Amino acid sequence: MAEFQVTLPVALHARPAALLASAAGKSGATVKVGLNGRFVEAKSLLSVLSLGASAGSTVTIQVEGERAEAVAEEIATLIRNLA
Amino acid sequence: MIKGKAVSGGIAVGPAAVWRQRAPLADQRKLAEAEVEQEVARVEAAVAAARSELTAMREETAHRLGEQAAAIVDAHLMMLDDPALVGEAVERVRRERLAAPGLLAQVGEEVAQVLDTLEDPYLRERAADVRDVTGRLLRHLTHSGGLESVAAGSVLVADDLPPSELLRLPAGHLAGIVLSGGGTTSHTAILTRSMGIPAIMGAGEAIHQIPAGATLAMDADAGTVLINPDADLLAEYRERMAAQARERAELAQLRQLPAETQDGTRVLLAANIGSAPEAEAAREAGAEGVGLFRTEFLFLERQEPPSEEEQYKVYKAALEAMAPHSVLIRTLDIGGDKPLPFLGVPAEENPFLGWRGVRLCQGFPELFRTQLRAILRAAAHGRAQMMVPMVATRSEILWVREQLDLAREELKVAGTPFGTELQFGIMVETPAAAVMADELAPLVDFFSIGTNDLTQYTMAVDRLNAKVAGLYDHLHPAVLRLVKLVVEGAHRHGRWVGMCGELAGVPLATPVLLGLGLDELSMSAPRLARVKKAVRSLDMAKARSLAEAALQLADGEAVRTFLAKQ
Repeated sequence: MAEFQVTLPVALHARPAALLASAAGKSGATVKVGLNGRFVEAKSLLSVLSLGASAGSTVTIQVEGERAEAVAEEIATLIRNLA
Repeated sequence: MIKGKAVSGGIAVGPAAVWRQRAPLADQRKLAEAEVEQEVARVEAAVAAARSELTAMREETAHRLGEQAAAIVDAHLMMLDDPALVGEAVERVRRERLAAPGLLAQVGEEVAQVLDTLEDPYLRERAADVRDVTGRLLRHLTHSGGLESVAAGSVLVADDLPPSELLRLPAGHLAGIVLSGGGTTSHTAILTRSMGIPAIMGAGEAIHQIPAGATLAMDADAGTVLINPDADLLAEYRERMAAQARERAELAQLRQLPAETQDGTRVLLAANIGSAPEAEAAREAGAEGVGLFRTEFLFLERQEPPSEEEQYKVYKAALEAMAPHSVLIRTLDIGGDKPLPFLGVPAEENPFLGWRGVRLCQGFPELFRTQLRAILRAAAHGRAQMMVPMVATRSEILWVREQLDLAREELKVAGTPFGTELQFGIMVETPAAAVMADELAPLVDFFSIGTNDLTQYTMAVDRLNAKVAGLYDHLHPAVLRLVKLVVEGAHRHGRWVGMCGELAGVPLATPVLLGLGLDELSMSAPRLARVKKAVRSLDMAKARSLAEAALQLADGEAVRTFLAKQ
């Protein structure tokens, strides 16, 4: 499993959340995103939205599966580019 | 075994697909094992439908309002795939075994409520999106209630089946239909007959015991349904089904061929209908006209009589549906047996010998002329013919012709256009009219023989009276000799003769009827193919000698035996 933390440049509202969910869904890996200890499936847009992660908050990304490291890298890049 | 009314005939074997049209949100009934996957399929169908709808909407929105607006629809589309919504709902259906709509609504609301509580106002707005998508899914789920997910070859088991649902299915999709309610003359019943789907209705509460997926063997001619019959019985049913399918295919081919005897004599084969939409089905079945358009349906079960306008629209629709063929409209044929509240007809001791048909109309000339005006107006839109029932004597015909003239006057005065080519005839169903056919022929353009009532009156039998019903036989030589009299009387004066009673649709009788000289045979649409087959296998010279021989026999039994041997 690959895990890392990242500070959100923007809040995880509709469009950013959609981008994250889409990437997570396409990755083929199991991606979870957590805020304050609460983790949800990243591919579920609604679940990601329900986290209510605002700009500046720190989220944890957990990736499991074959290409865990690579996927984690991709997601990290995506989030950094949300700004 | 479950029993019901045979509405549309045939043998059918298939797995039971239990269906509820609108699953109420509060449906607490536990689903059976087999129903669970059916329910999941329904959800998937609803998602697919919602997806098409949203995809189309996205395109339109992008055009009209630009990409940013379209992105909102994109979010809805993504929500359809979101495991937190549909995925969760499906899991609950499998786990709790309850109907999908209630569970989906629950999940949708739960997800929306979580979003409601978030700080970010933008995120809170997304709660509305969730509710929106959930609502859309529910609309598809409860509206297109599952008929699409019913597997091909199933026997549909339901309380009721609205015609609009049935019409959505491709032909041949369902093996059969079993309903707890429903009448034989309902629109759904009529549809099952024209679509050729074996159907049993009025089977009652017993159908709720049919387990989803059980093998059902239906005999829709007998009105019986067997649940999970043993292997031997099943094989028997399947064999019968195959035989019926072969016959149907053979008859379907006949549709394209003309109703012509071996020696090239053409006969007009027409259909009897009881409502305008049936004209379409009649056409489909190969009818070359409508030989009886019963108009009672326009008058029954209502508090006031139908207006001229309403009637005109119905007759016009039938004429247009059958163009360029003719439609023969029969004026109101009613009496003490089917009271019309707006007429106040008193109950009678002998309604079939009582104040009915043209006699009744003589008591209500305004009502009668309204129907005549509607028919005259419709006649401008096709080849229209009209006839009057229950005529027993000359003065009645003269009265009707007088009313027709008056009706034309009324229309002229009002400046309303009407058809000038309306053919006028009478039903010959009383022995008096049959015997006097020669005298009555000059007063009309044609006769149509109503063998049902003619047989009752001739044999002096009430068909519905179990004690004497055995005497009712429309193949009795007494009836056939009257038919001969009527045809001779008409032809002597250059008038044509049709037959609209049940006898017209009996293939065994076809040689005799043609041999006697009938110009037209009109029957219920499903009977057309078999009668046409009989017509095509005849030779007129042989038919004429058969007819003569039949008239010399002693009774209906003898005639049947004789004809069966040919």
